Amino acid sequence: MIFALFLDGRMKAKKGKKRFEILDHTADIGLIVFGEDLKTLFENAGEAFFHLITDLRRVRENEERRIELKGESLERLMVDWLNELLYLHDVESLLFKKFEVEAVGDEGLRAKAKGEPFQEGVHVIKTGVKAVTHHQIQVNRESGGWRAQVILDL
Amino acid sequence: MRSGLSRKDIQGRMKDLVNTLFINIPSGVGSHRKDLKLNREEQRQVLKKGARWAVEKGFGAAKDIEHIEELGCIEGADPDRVSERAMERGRAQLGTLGSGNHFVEVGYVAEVFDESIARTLGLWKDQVTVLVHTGSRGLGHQVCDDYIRVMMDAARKYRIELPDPQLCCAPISSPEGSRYLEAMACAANYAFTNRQMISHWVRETFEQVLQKSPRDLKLDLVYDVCHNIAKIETHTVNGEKKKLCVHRKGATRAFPPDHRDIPEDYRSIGQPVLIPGDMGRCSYVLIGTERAMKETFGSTCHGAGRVMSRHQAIKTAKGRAVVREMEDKGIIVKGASRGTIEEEIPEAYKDVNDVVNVVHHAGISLKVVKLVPMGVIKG
Repeated sequence: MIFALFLDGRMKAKKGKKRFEILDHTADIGLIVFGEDLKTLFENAGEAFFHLITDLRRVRENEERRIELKGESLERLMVDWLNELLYLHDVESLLFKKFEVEAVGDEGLRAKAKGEPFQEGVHVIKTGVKAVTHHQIQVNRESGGWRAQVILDL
Repeated sequence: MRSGLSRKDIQGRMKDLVNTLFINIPSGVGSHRKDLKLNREEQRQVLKKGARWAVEKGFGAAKDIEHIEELGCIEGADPDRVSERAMERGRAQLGTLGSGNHFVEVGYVAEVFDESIARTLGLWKDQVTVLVHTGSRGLGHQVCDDYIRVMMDAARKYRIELPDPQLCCAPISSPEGSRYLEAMACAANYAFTNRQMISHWVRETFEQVLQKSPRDLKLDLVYDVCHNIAKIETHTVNGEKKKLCVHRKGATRAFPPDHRDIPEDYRSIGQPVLIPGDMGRCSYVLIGTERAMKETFGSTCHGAGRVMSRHQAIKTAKGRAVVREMEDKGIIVKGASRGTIEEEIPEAYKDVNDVVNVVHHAGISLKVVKLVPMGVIKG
């Protein structure tokens, strides 16, 4: 079972709306992400993911990657999206900070992610993520927007 | 690994050893050995041959192979079952430690519980030992991710109802099932290779720092055991011999004396089992038993297990100088980042002494020696 034990990973947008929370778990960790629409939900998920990995204040937006994913259920698309970012992080040591989702839905996802490669002495790694899992995955429409839950294997 | 060194022989050298291990064994994000470049064909050989590939390339000795589970190579590995993406993730990370709970630890034998078995394993009181904990890195995770997709569709195809999508599966004999096992074998072989290479760099580090020859150091492999793997094995079920797929997740194999899968020189005592604790307490070497064969399909525990989540651990460690605390206890720790050290603070784990006592008294593996850490590098 997973319990939200503390929420110091909670990040708020400027207008004060909560964008994501870190969900605590003994071996793994979870992300609860919010968004007023699906695009924002996926963008916030990307940010939550890298907020967990690094101190985003030290990351500059020097490089851009285009990401395109084929359509599946929204749950699967959410896992695919984060796994895609993890893959780029793994292979190119990239840390992403800014996400622009151009389209997301049954057709799949099209997005841009901006950031830069990890540099010793400049960036810090807070947590290493091994994999994004399908365990207890949720993507739901709620009153006033969308909510997603993803469990990560650390 | 055991050694020909007593802990007095490395007194005052631990900082040097830890720093040099940290240089020689790539540990942080994106780090890799500059002298190691793997082309596609070579990588396919790694996946097919496992630790034998490493030995052929000069990493370690042929006699290491005899002391690796499955002789360092799971049969039936087919690189064609591994996606391009998994190959890519694996290529950059071969010979790297990785983050999370992965580590290299230099310690010593603090207590001997079974003199005779310890002797057969070449272990003695105050002897310097080295533990290496790492696995199949991004390649393994990508294989998992790729096949989860396959299994989700397969579960639908074979009408398997799932309480959670992560539990997706297929019959072992189905095309999906057998393809997965061929891919999993590749990931396991990659992990054997990875450990073999890192062990080699551990040996080089000792030679470099202590200025001693391999013959003096005698850093020999005691055993290399798998965590988290599915194996096809024969077990007795209700008095009948059956071929089974035994999936050990959070567990290790603990085969009894006289089992044919145990190296010849250990056959009379049983299979060695390595149980890492946390970086501040201790670790154990156990031995497999007949009881494990009867009660747990030849399996036992594989580590201490966490009591604190990683975030809780980091919160607990806040404002504390963990590296300094460990140094005060006589343990030199070096990690790629502060976060990865803090999430591994000793109190984040169950006391491995308690865990090991449970399996010892349950009889599914027996205590041989206790290892106490002196120096640790973390990813």
